[in-house]
Amino acid sequence: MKKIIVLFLLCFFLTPQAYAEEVPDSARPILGDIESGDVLDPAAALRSMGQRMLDGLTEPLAQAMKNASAVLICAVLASLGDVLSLGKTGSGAARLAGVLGITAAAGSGIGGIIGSLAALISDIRAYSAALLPTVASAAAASGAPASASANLAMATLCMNAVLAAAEKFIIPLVTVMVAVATASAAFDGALRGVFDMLSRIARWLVIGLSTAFTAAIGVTKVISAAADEAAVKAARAALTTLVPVVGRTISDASEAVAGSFAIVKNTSGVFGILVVIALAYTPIVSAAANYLGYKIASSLAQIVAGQEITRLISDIGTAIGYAAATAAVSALALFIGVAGFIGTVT
Amino acid sequence: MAAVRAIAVSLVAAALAVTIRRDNPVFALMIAVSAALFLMWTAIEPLRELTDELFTLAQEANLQAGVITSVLKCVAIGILARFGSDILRDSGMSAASSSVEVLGVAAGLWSALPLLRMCLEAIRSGL
Repeated sequence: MKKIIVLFLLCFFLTPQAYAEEVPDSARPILGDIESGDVLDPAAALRSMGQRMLDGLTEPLAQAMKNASAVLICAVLASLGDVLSLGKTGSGAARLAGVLGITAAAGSGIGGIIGSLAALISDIRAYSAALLPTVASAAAASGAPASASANLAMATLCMNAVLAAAEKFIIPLVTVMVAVATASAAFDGALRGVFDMLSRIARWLVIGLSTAFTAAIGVTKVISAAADEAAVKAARAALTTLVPVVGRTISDASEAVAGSFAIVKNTSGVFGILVVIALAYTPIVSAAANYLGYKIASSLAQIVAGQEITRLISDIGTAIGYAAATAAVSALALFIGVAGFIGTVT
Repeated sequence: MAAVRAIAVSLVAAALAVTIRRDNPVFALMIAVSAALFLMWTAIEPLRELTDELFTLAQEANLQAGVITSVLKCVAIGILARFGSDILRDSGMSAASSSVEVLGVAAGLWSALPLLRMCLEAIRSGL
């Protein structure tokens, strides 16, 4: 008896700790000390997260403005070179230096942003591997066995596809876009067509991935919902008829157990969504602030710099925008995947 | 005030050079070169203040000093190459003037090489 009590106590104390360790460290600055049990009062959890999100807005905005002003200084210098050499001797070299200076000045910022977005995608991959099976198990136990397994299979497949496309294709494509934009600005817009083509490819991929994921999850949910109802009815009927004397009692008790698992599913699902928001917030806000900063710098550079320099700054902003959109789609995919389980009919 | 003085000196030098060019072209050229050097000298102070201000702004924006130095070098080379090229053209040495232009472009590109390396490193780290 003592052994059983000790085992029960160990399970009780170690399980929440193990679950908490699944939360990536990068989510903690926004998530704070919120644990899965705290989501039973979602308003308080959201309030405290919202405050931390507002507090965390200042630093990325300041950094983005610094990056934009660094680029703007290079644009001013490049235009100074153009003006002082009056479009003659050394003008091409001065503009080339300006173009390279802009990309070099933006380089560390872009590297940091792309690094943080790649780390976000990697965190999402690791967290989805822990979260989706947990929520799926709770959903299956709460009376949706067919839809839970189908949703898990489809969500895992689609998540892997979205994350692989983001990691292996779109994020490197963004770097290539910056390189092509630089070359295009250095050679009087000769590679503008290539940049536009890459830009279109990135846009189609981002839109296509998000649409395909949402459609796949939606279709799976619709197809498997009817199977759940039939499976639960069949199980209850079997318990009532096949188990003598206590069949009806067990069948009624199973409803209470399923209800408890529904609470577990909703709690872990909502907590998972909060973790995804906390994970994605800082890198995406930082990238969005940089996108905005470069677009503002591009508008301001129009006053002093030539068309190619202005376009280059704008194109760097566009490339960062696609990187941010890709990371946002990855986070949204996990969000929709988990929300699909929470919304499962019981 | 310095700008007004510089404009006045350039006008006087131009008038003198035009007046004596027919009788003594060498002396006219010397006047033109001297006036140009004086104007460049006058421009150094405001340009220095401008670059100091740009360096301060660059520091505040966390811009690497290497980036701004390379771009400034390139701009300075462009200005000097144009100056030298125009003086040579004024003295009727077109071939030497073209050579100075080519030299200016080559020196400008050479000074932009560290920037190219920085760009390539940034792109390589992103891939």
